[in-house]
Amino acid sequence: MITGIDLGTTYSAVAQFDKHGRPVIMGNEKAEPLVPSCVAFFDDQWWVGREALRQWITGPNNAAARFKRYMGTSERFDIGEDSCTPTELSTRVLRHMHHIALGHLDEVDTTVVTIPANFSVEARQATIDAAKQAGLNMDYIINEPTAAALYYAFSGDLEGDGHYAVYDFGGGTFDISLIHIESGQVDVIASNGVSRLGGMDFDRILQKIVREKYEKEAETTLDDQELNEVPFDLVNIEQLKRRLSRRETVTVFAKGILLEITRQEFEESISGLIMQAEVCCGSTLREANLSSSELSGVILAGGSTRVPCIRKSIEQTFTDIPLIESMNVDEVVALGAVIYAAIRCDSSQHNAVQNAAIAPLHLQEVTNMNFGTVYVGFHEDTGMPYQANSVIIKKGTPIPCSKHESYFTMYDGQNEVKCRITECAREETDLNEFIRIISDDTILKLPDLPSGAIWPENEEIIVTFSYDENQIMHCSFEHKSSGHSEEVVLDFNRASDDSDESSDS
Amino acid sequence: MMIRPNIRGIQIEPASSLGPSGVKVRVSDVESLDLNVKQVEFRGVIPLERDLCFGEIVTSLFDCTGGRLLPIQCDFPEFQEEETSAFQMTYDIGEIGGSLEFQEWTCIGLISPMFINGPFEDTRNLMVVTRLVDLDLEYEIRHGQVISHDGVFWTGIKKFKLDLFDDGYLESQIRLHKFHFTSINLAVLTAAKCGHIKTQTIEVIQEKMDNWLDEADSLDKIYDGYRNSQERSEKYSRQLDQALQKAKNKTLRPSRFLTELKQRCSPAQATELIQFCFDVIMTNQTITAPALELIDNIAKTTRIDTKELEKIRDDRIIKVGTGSDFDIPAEQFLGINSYWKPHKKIKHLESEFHKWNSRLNLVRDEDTRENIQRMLNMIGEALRKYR
Repeated sequence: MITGIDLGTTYSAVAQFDKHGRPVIMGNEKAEPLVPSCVAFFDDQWWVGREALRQWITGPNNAAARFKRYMGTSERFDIGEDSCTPTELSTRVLRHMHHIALGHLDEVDTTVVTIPANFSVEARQATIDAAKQAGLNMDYIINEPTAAALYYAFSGDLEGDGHYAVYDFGGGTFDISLIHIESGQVDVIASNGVSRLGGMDFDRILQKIVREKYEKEAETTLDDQELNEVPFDLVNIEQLKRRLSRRETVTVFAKGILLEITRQEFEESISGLIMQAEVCCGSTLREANLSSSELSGVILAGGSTRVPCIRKSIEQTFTDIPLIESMNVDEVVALGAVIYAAIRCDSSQHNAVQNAAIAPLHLQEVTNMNFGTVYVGFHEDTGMPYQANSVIIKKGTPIPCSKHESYFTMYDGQNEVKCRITECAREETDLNEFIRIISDDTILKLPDLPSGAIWPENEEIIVTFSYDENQIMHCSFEHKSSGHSEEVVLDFNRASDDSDESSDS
Repeated sequence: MMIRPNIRGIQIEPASSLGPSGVKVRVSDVESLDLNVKQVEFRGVIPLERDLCFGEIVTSLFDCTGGRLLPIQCDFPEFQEEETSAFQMTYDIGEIGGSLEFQEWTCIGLISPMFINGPFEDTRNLMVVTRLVDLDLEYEIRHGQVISHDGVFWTGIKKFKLDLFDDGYLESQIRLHKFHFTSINLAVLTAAKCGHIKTQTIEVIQEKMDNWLDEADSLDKIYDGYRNSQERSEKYSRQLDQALQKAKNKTLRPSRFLTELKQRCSPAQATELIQFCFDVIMTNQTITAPALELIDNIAKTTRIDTKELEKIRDDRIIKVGTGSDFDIPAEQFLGINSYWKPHKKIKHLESEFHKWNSRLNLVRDEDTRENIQRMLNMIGEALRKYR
């Protein structure tokens, strides 16, 4: 059997592709479809989900939440005496989701895990490592908005073929993708996002509003410990946010004082954040050479799309375009993930009904980063050499793709070339900290010439990057005159070498 | 070009007596060469008061315009002093005794404007100083000045005029030091405009000064008019003290320094200065509108490329500590001019947002990521006003 896991910032969900060829969410033992992405250690054991969340509220020193935002970074979370990486914590959540699936299925052959559209290579790699460490058989990952689009292309709940925007505003990240759907063929055209923009940011702002109101009324200052207590703790604040989505005014009873919070003041405070989503939508439309009027609909995903002012922002950004949310916005990504898993599986793993269900579906993704190499140039005025980045495959290029560029050796007698591969989210030329060198240990050696002759300068080196639909990039550096070449293969689905495959508890 | 009034000239020993035979030194054109090459010639008898074993005539060259002796430099090691790059030619006499006699005019050295570099560009009065030295006795000549006299026992002098076309080495040094002093003042002013000058900020300025002084020490081969590195260092420290005092008294004004920058500041220096001012801001951990305004003024004055300024700003801004005072309008921070029309401001803010948002995912350092996020939030807030 196959599963799809939406590893969310605040909540996670797991879906299966059932024998009737339908994607179905699998609830936990209490039949809850959403599991808090929260990890805790107490009573001598590790906990994931609701129990861990409860612990996070009452004793945050023994628990961690909202760590997805830090995937691929060196950030660590202290849980009791342990110091955990976001990857380790995600491993526990994924293992928990896998166990939920095993409560419904005899076995799980393949799993697809979702990631935000603009996750860096490192964050992507950290997610793959987490899946491997959790013991999942995961060959593919999929971008969250793409998964949502795939679900709708599958379900037939769309207005017909055409261009759609997928507006995915979750607990921790915001993603916007523009896609074209035609007879089951889903082509991603452009994808962007804000990696640190989500419901948890709104929660923090709302917590600040409540705190300031209380401190003013009570003429006191709350310390960090008090902020983790009812009603200031983030779980209560999230409930308060949900209530504000339904009512214009809500009251909070805080330590004997009644506080009135209005939706207007909350919306006013988060409007700067919502503006970021609007800017992102605008630039993605421009990148795709589309105007919002050309869209057939806006597919909604993520719990934050329920917030009324976000609704208003979507309606303003995509004027008169129908909003599509026939499926629960919290579940659509997991459902899309399992459909993707079904597409990628060998058809022999499916029954006839399942094969028929996915037969019309095809997906074409785009690269979410610029990929390039490093070359040496010379300043026109001073003649001094400098190193620069040269983009070969641009962000947003449909996958599969293959691009090549020529570079030349610098001096007579140069007999080797360093082959470096870079990644950047924006076309940067200066080698700065916004460019990541993802491979630099390969050297192309030019063959020796007879009787001690040397290669002249300006020998052509053809650099070819080919990105296939399995998210594997083949980078070839070829010396044109001799035909000698070196190849670097970057498998963006493979766990890193130092990924610990052993799984504890 | 104003000459620094306190610039030190070289002191040389007085010329020796010409003697009864009328020893002469002359400088004449080399007819066969059409390159304004001069030859230094010598004729007469040098009476020797002691036995000389192995002799050598050493020729040094000075610019003596205005009465101050400033050494002439040479680009070729073969015609340089052993320890410095001051011009020096040697003429080996060999073993001699009694008196030294040149009956005919004898060429003891050639001077070509092609390979010498004077302190200033112009038609200058030059002075040839020829010295007879005993190679068996110690002698030391540095920047054309005799440091150890034991082996030098005869000195002849001849003045002549020469056109020097290249930018003078002392002009460059003076310009460089002046730029350093201007930079010190503007850095202090930047810190002052942040509201207060922290000890760490002064340390950053001192560190920069130390780097400059180290560079100057490494170029000690070229005469810069200071007695020694100690004197140079004291001069720099005085500049800093004075600037800090003026800042304290609120009498430090940018106009004079900006005018100086306008007159002479290379693009590389402009970049260095702006980086320096941003470093000061970063150390102060307080970013204020007046401080950024001053940096903008420096950029405008030096006509630094907008993209270059943006690059420096981006590079430095993301390193501001997260606990620092960052409370200034995003427009100011992001180089938006108040006279721009709203749609231009929106376009600029959107482009800044796009840039930082793209970069956010690739930054490893968590503090830097926080700073970028803070910038994105600032841009979002600013956009609210215009959209």
